[in-house]
Amino acid sequence: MAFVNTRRKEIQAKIVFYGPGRGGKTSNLEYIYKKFSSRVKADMVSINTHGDRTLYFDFLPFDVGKVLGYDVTVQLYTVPGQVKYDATRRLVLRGADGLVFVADSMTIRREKNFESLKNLQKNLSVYKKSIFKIPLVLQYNKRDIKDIPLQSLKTMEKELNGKLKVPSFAASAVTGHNVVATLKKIISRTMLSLRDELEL
Amino acid sequence: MSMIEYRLGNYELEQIENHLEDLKGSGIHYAIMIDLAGNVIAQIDDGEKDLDIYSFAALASANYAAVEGIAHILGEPGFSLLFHKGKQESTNFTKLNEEFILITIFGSRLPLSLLRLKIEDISKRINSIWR
Repeated sequence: MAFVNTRRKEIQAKIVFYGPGRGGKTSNLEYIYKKFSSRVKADMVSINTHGDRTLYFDFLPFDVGKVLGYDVTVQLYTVPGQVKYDATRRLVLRGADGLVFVADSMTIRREKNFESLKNLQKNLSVYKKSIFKIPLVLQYNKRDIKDIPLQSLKTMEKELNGKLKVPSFAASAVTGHNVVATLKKIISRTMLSLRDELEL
Repeated sequence: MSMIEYRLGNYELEQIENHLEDLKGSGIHYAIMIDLAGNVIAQIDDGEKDLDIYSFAALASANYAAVEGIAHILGEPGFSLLFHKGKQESTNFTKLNEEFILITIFGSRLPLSLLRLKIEDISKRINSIWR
């Protein structure tokens, strides 16, 4: 849950990018880091394996500015997507206020998207949170790929978002297409949820 | 206090900051209270060092959680001492309660035993806020 410092009029909220391995979660944060250098308070932190895969998480503190008279900082995290790192995924999820699920549009990754979404639901339940209630945005990433078969947006929307019915974006973390739109949407949904929850 | 949901009012925050202020001048460069989600609750520093506090808090909470996970695998409820010694700077992690950790950063001149005494005192005082 976000930390609200009423004395200093500050809010720290946590947004986690979740999804299957090699789906583009880190690339989302890298794009945001490059695009918004003035709003990022510090260097992006990445804990990677030697093979440059996310081992623990990536972290980026993002300055949102003033909301309802409070200085808001959103802490952006990614989780490691590989199946074997479930324990660390769970740790990063602790205290999350909002989530972006980065789905991989490649047809061969269809099952991986399902597995990861189910895994998210399971890990949220550890913290007594529901995937149907927490602020969530879906991103169908890698839409820029031309030479590998991609699932149609209609199919992805039906299969991944049929029950959730949350905002979704066709995106490319590599080119930056709809990365900012995804971020804006999850920040606004998270802020609205916090406003209601904290009665600000 | 619940496991992952808490609220701190102005009174509690003021008390926490006052207690941390008492650590100033003791050889401690930074004292930072964070929650297990990686949020910075309160901090004091001696003005000697510029620290990226948000990244530090994110890494510190993750480090603490990972070490606690290791303890559980070994059948331990947790490790009572989490201490990293550097050439110039060292850090000490103290779990205050189910939600908060106090991290201190200190130089080589401050003996660990003395630091631990100070931290124990501050921990008791901070926890007494909720009694």
